[in-house]
Order: sequence, then structure tokens, then C-alpha cells
Amino acid sequence: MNSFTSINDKPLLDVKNLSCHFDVSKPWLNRVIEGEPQRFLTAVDQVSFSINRGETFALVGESGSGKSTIAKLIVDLIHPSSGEILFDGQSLKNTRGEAFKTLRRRIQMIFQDPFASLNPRWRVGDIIAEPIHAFGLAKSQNDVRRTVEELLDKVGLAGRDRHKYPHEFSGGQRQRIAIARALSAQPDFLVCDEPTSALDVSVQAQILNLMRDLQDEFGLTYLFISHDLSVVKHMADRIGVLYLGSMVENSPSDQLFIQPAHPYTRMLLDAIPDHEMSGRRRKQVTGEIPSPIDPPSGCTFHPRCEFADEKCKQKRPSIHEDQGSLVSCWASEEKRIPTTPKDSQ
Amino acid sequence: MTEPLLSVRDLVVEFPKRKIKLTALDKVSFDIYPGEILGMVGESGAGKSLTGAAIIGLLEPPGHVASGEIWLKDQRIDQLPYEQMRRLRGKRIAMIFQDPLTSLNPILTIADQLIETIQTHLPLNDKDARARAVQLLDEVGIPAASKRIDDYPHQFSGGMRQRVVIALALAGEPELIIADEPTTALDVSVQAQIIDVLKRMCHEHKTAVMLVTHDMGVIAEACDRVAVMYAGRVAEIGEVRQIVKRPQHPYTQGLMGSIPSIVERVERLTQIPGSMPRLDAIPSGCAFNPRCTQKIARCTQDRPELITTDQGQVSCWLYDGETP
Amino acid sequence: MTDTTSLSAPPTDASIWRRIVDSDLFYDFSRRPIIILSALLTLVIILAAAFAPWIAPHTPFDPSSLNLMDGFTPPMEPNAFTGNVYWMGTDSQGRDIFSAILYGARISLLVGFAAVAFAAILGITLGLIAGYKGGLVDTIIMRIADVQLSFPAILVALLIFGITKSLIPNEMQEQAAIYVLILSIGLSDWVQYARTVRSSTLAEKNKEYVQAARLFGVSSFRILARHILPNVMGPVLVIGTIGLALAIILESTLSFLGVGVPATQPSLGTLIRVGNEFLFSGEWWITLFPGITLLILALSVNLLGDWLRDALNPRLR
Repeated sequence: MNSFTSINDKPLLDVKNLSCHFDVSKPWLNRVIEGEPQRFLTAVDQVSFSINRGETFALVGESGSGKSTIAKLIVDLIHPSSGEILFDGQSLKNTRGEAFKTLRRRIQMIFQDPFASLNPRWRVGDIIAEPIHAFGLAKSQNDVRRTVEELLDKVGLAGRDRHKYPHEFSGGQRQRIAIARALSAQPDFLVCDEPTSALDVSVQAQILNLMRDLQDEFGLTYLFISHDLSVVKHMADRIGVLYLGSMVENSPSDQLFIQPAHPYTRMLLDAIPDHEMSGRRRKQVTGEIPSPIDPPSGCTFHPRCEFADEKCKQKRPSIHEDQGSLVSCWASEEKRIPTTPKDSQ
Repeated sequence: MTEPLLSVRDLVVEFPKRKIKLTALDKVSFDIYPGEILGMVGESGAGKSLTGAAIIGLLEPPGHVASGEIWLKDQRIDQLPYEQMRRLRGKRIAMIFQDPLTSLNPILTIADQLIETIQTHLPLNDKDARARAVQLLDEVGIPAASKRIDDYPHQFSGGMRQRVVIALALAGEPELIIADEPTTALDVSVQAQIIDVLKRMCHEHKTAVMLVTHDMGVIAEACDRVAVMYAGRVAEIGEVRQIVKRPQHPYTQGLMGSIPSIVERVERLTQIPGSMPRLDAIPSGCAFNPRCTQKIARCTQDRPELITTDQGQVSCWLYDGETP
Repeated sequence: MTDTTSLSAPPTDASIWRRIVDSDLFYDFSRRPIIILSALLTLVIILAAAFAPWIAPHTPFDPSSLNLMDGFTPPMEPNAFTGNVYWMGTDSQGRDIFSAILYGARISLLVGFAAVAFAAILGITLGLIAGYKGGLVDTIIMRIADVQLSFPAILVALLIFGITKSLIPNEMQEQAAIYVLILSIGLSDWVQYARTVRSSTLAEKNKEYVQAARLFGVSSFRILARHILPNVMGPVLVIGTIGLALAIILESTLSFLGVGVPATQPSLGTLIRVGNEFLFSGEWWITLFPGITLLILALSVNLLGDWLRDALNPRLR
């Protein structure tokens, strides 16, 4: 099996052939009576990538692409069906005791919905202090208080805000609190699952800028998950494009937008509204994402792909390298896609 | 210049609370001309959806129109009795909501719902109404429309459902469609298709659209003119190109700068400090003044009205005294 | 920033009283005269019961203070032999009905509160476990609940009462009776709590704040106790209030049937049963006044519970 591997030989996070299936069968009795087989949904299908220290790697995809499942797999909220996740050379699966606790502490997550990610009954100070207590990172109550206040200051809130409850804050401010909580575990890797998609654009800009600043200050590595390509372009060094649980392309950010290699990436770029009215040349987008329970054979994108042929319908594409991009597409490998330089830039 | 189709003048919507009255819309004025797509853009809580609800008479109590006028051609519609307003809805003004699942009845087929709507508004017999329904579905891009018309909503994908909703809205041949975040629940690749359908259909049917959205991309793709809302007031109205390329109001300038660019990469996004005030704490003078980087003394005292400039209308004192 | 931390402001929120008065719940409350009346009546009965030894003019169950000559005195009339006047009259033993009601309400409320607390603790615990763990544990707990729910509560209570009593030695029956009653009413009513808490737990456990806590390696017990429990207590409060009314009625029913508290410690239900024997011989007051008290208490608590349910339900606002 070919895999997406980084050029750098010591990545911070190394994901190898990660797969995750969910059992979506009807209850056992119904299956027996109706004579139906068990059904599985392949949420993540043999995904491999690696992220270097200090880098921002983005996963983009539409609904059902498996991007949020990958986030949960990496932070160990759910367990993979197969494949391996190595963090700093260690696997969460095979680590126990103190070492496991340390690994847990080093990987933290920022969630999508700032209204659901903070316990409404807790004061902000207690919310931010939870990881400090859980990982034993402070010697005294005074220590805890000082750390909480410093963190609030770092994310642009006031130290005395620790006495308030989440409902007293706006969405953007809540996301700042969630970031402060993640940072209080002193992580070096942050999984950000659509951190700004619940926020208004002007607030989104504040949060994205803050995340950049914090990355520089703490030397953080980000896995940034989003459906919004313009946000991803702003944040990421490398981008992985997901379609129905498979990674179809993994390219450096700049290259992906200038020379998308996979036909799906091209389609995604064509679908982004031109909010700047730059007159970007775009093609009409057609079709919708098929159900992940019963995905198309071969390359799952073939029903919507203008370059698909018989081979695409039957055989799952392997991964090949093309000018720094890792692409999973027969048409691209066989050079059947005409290179149209994006002259509109 | 043609007569406006819809004219909103100094619309004030209030929500009485226990001790105070919250002014959710404060002297909102704008026009929609026949056949045009007017975008209503703003952040959550700016009052854009509320404006749509006020026009179509579906404000949630205790919210009510406290003052101002809404004219549909030469008929004043903000004080119509319930029964007359109900007849107006669907026939002259139709509505498209964010979630297509909630606007379709899950236990009726698409045919049932479309034909019922058509016959409510047009004098057609069953056969003609059905033919009209198939034609509408075909126009909004549903493949094999004559077969799929007998399917139930759950048999359609999200994007197809929203197409059906557009067909439903057009069934009564309304003069105005209010579309409230019609693409927000959809994936990007589907969103682009729905915008196309909406644009094409309204152009073909000569229907005016008020497109409510928070997404500047959708505005830029679909609209002819844009009204930018802030804290229940109109900050700026103008041609879409002017708003996107040369915004006048400092808020619009900040808003446009805060959207990450797909074309070029910048190190830092422009950010507007702070957040939009809550309805119970709107500052005096210009509502934007505490966050404004260009404010002058007057901004904290007097509230700016819409000033007509050579690029459109803007409610900002910086443009006071400019010759229109 | 670090230098100023020691100067950081004290808690900014107003006093608890201020927050209650400002809350929407209190506002809604203040505009409903019937609910205010219910709350006042409930409060008066609870206080009167609690301070019965100080308020009651007589100690009704101290045989030395009873005078048989006082028996069957009608309300507000001087006794033919002794000339004593009793507000609500006396019973066959010459007991003051008003005092008996105060002491009886004490027993009724004690059993009611204790049974609700027992049912709530049991139901909440099982509901939390079933909702959070899911799978086989969930199936077992909820199937037991379903089976129990298909029997009327009174039948379950009678059954548990019978079984428990047969297990207790004869000489202890008298003292243990009240605890057996609490146990049987509590056990017959836990299902409601378990079902409600389970469904709230199912919703809460998938929220991101719970996932965040799991990322910090917080134990399941701590997540349930510190994160989920406070967020599922709203509906429990409502069921608890309505449950209190039901428990008081169930206790009275059991006592009326003669299987509840012993006659030496009569509850409202026992008083009604005792009085019932004299109803047709003209001594109506012996059963009527305890009956009215029970009615007012149960109705008030029930109205409070209903109001609380509607006021806390955002969809009805």
C-alpha cells in the first residue's frame, strides 16, 4: 500500500492507513426478521498523512467526508477500526499509565460550537482550570488562579472574567474561553474542528488572528478542519482534501489553489463564491455527494468526474506523487487531465 | 426610474420585555425594484431575518411593527388584517427558508404540495396544475421531473429539496420572494448550484428577490444591490460591485476585510475590534461608533440617517456634506 | 497582568436574592396569583407541620393528656360535659382534630419528602448510568423500568410493602413501619426519574463540553457527577415536585387502606380512615378536616409542579 508520507523524516503526528467503520445496521431482531445483512458506514477509509512540528495541516471536505471523524480519532474520543496514529513516535493505543496521560495532555482540541463546548453551569475560571487539575499542572490554588488569569489575558479577555458564566459571553468570546481551556493543558498539538464556522465573519477574523498569534507564541502545531476553503487557505501550510472518507489530494497550500491536481479539488475551487468579484474563471458545478453507506465502486468520485473512464469505475486509485502533491486519481496518474493554468489570478 | 415594487420606510420593530422595550429594527428604509435581487447582509442579530419576517407579517409575538410603513406597489401591507395578509402570502410575496426539510410536509408527496399551492393561487384544474407542477420542477433542474413528482420529500437529497422549495415559492407566481439563508444548510458544491437556480428562475419569471444571508460570497454571486445591516439599522445600501470593491461605511470596510481571500494570502486579516452590541445596550449616536476606527465627535451624539452619495446610500457622518 | 492579579475584582455577580428576583422564573411566578397562593399554602402547611409541637394546643397522642369526656366534641361548640371548645372538634378519644392534623401532616410530609428523595436518588443514579454507559447496562435497567411501569404504582407499593414487612421481625414492625412505607413508595416511583434523566443524559453526553472533559482524562464518575448531573437536574425538579404530591396521596391511600403507618403515629391518611368510621353517625368533622388539609396540600404542590414544568419548558414560553 502506497501512503502519503512527508518529506520531513520526523513528523509530530503520523497517521497511517487510518480507517473507521460505524455499524449502522438495524437492531439484531429486525435484521433477523427482515433478513437484512449488517450494514457498515465507512466514515474514514485508509487515510494517511503526517504533520510536522509547527505546521498547520488542514483537512477540507463537505458533509460526509469524514473530517470530523478523523479529528475524534486523533484525540482518541473514538477508536479506529484499523490503522495507526503515531504522536511524536508513540502510539496512543499502546501507551499506558503516566506516558498515556502525558500524550493526552499534549493533544488538545477546539470544538465547533462554542455554545455546546462550555458547561453552562460552570464558571469560566473552573472551566479553564479543569485541565490544570486533571493533569496536575499546578501546585496550589493560587497557582491555578494565576494561570487562569494569564490565559484569559492571552486570549484577549480580562482576568476577572473568570467569575462569570458562559452565557454572559458572545460566541466569539466563548470560543476564546475554549481556546484558553485547551491551552491550559500546555499542549503542543491542537485539533481545531471547524473552530470558526459557528461565528460571524468579523468575529471569525478575530479568532483566526488569535490562533495565528498563539501558534507563534507557543510553537503549536495545528490540525485545522474546515469546509471553508478561503479560511483554510488563510491558515494552512498543507491541505488534505477528503471525499467520502478518502483523501483524494494532499498538497502544499499555495499549490493547491494554483494547480489543483484532483478533479474534485478543482470542483471545490469552482464552487467557492467569488466574494471579491475578482472575475475568477469558474466552471459550473454539478451533482451531489452520494450516500456514504453505499458509496460508488472504484474511485468514489467517478459518477461526478468528467475524466472518469472504465478503470475509474472498477479500480480504487492508488496514490502517486505529482510535483509535491500526493494525488489519488487514475486520470491524474495517467496524465489524462489537461493542465489548464489558472490565468485569472 | 421605475417605481419600486416594495418600499420600506422607517420601519421600527419592537420586542417589549419585562422592564424595557428592545428595538430590534430601528428606522429601516429601503426599496426593492421589480425583477432585482436585493441582498440583506449582516451578522447574527443585525436584524436581517427580522426585516423579512416583518414584511411578510410573520413576526413572532411579542415582536411587532411599532412604526413605519411597508408598501407593496401602492398597497400598504404592514397593517393588513390577518386574513388579507394570509392571502397575500404565497400569491404576491413568497418565502424560502434555510432548512428545506421544515418547509416541506414530510407525509405529502411533492405533487400534493405543489398542486395544492398552485391551485390556491391560480384557477387551474387538476390536470393543468399537475402539468404546471412538472414544468416548474423541470425548470428548477430536477431530473425526470414527471416521475419524481410523486416522491416524498425524504427521497430527495438536500440540494434537490431546496430546488423543490424554490419551485413551491414560484408556484403562485409571486412578485417578490423573500429567501432567508436559502443556502446556509447546504454544502459548498450544492450551494453554488442553488444560487444559480434561484438567479435564473427569478430572472425568467421576473420575480424580485430579497436574499437574506450572512455570506458575502452568496451576495457577490447573486445580488444586484446590497443592504448592509448593523444592530437593527441599515448601514449602507448600494450596487453590489460598489459594496464589494469600494465599501463606504467603516463597518462594511471592516466586514469585507475580515473575509479571508481565496486569491491572495495575507498575514493578518483585518479585524473589527469588539462585537456587535446587544439590543439592550445599543450606544447613542451611530451604533457602530465604539468599534469604529474613523469616528469623529459627532458620531457619539447624533444618529446618522441614510445619506445619498454618488455610490449609493450610507448612514455615516463621514459622508455628510458630500454632494450627491 | 501578572502583577495585578492579586488586585483582581471580587465576584462581580449580585447576591443570590437579587438574582432570584431578577430571574424570568420569578417574574412569571409574580404574575400568577394562583401559583402564589399555592406556594403560600404549601409553605404554611409545611411550617405548621414542622413546628407542630409549638403550635398545637394539645399533644394528641399523649394518652395522659386525653380526656375521654371530651370525645366527639363538634367544632366551635363547647363540650357538653367539660365545656372545652375545639376549633375542629375532637374524635372518639377526645383528641383535638386540629392538633392531630398538624402532627399527621408532619408524618405525611416526612414520608412524602423522604420517598421522593429516595426515588429521585435511585432514579437519577440509574438513569445516569443507563444513559451514559448505554449497551447492555442500559437495556437491563430500562427493561426493568418498563416492566414496573406497566403495573399501577399502588400495586407495586403494596407488593413491596407486603414483602418487606414479612421480612421484619414482629416486635420491630411498629418502629420500622414508616421506613418500610418510604421504601415502598420510593421504589414504586423511581422509574419516572430514571427515564427522564436517561434521555437528558443521552443528549448531554454527546455535547462537546463532555467530550472536552474526556480529553482531559476526567473519569466517568466525575463527568457524570460534575458535568452531566447539574445539567439534567431541571426536569428532575419538576418531576420531584409533582412526585411529592403523588407520594403524599399514595401514602394517604396506603394508610387509608390500613397498610401504612400505625394508628399510634397517624398520618393524614390514617386520620381520614379513622374518621371515616364515624362519618355516617354524624361526626363528619373527624374525617372532613384532615381530608381538606390533604386536598389543599396535594393540590397546591401539584399546581406548583405543573407551573414549574411549563415555566421551565422553553417551547411553551
